[in-house]
Amino acid sequence: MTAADDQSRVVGSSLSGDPEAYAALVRQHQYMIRAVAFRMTGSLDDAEELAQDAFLRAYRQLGSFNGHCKFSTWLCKIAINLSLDCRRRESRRGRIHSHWAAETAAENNPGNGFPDELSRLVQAALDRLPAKQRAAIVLTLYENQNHAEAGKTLGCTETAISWRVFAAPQIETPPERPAP
Amino acid sequence: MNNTELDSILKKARLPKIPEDSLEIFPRHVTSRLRRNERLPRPAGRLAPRLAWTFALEKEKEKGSIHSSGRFPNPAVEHEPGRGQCRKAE
Repeated sequence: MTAADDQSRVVGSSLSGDPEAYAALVRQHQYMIRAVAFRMTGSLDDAEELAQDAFLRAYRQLGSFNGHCKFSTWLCKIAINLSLDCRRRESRRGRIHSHWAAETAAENNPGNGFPDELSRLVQAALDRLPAKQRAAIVLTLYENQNHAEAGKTLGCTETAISWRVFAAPQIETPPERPAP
Repeated sequence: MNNTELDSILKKARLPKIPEDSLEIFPRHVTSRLRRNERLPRPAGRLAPRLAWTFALEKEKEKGSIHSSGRFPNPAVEHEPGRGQCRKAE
């Protein structure tokens, strides 16, 4: 039995209402989804919540999964879209609050559990990018999707993805404001 | 720095370690949230129109504007109250 057959069997069992079958899918894909969620949110707590929401939404939409792509790709799309929705809501609430929250979090937990300084700096740089650009980089660089696949995931053209990926290094970060 | 060099630096970035117990607990959290969502009662709004219709129909039956069988009276048939039967209007 191939991996794809095994995957469709487990998806089928989940569809027939077997929670244990779905738990197996969650176990199998949790690391990947939590990693994507972390790269998008920059916080372990937010990532865990977002990953849970992604698995819940995926369960509700399992009927629409037709096997045209890998289950992991479909799941990743759900997680990325959820994180973009969160970002939209956050920006509506105002940037001041999120800046304050980020600063407080950084003060309370300076290393944020990163294994080294480079990893922390890369995540800080990712956090400064616009959400859609960050999503393009996460999908192409860390999830190894090609630009066409990432375009399908984000609902835009391959060219738009290429632009987002190649334009990212040229975006200047705003200079830090001096402390009052 | 060219794009390839930048890619290799970005790829070296690792994630904070997820604790082992969190990996164990996570699937259970998801399935328990699923079960909790499935147990939610039906929204009350769906019952309200049915109750309103039942109540209104009962009122109309009491007023006699509809027959006790629940049917509206046929204007072609003359209804004789108290006799429990109808005869064809001439």
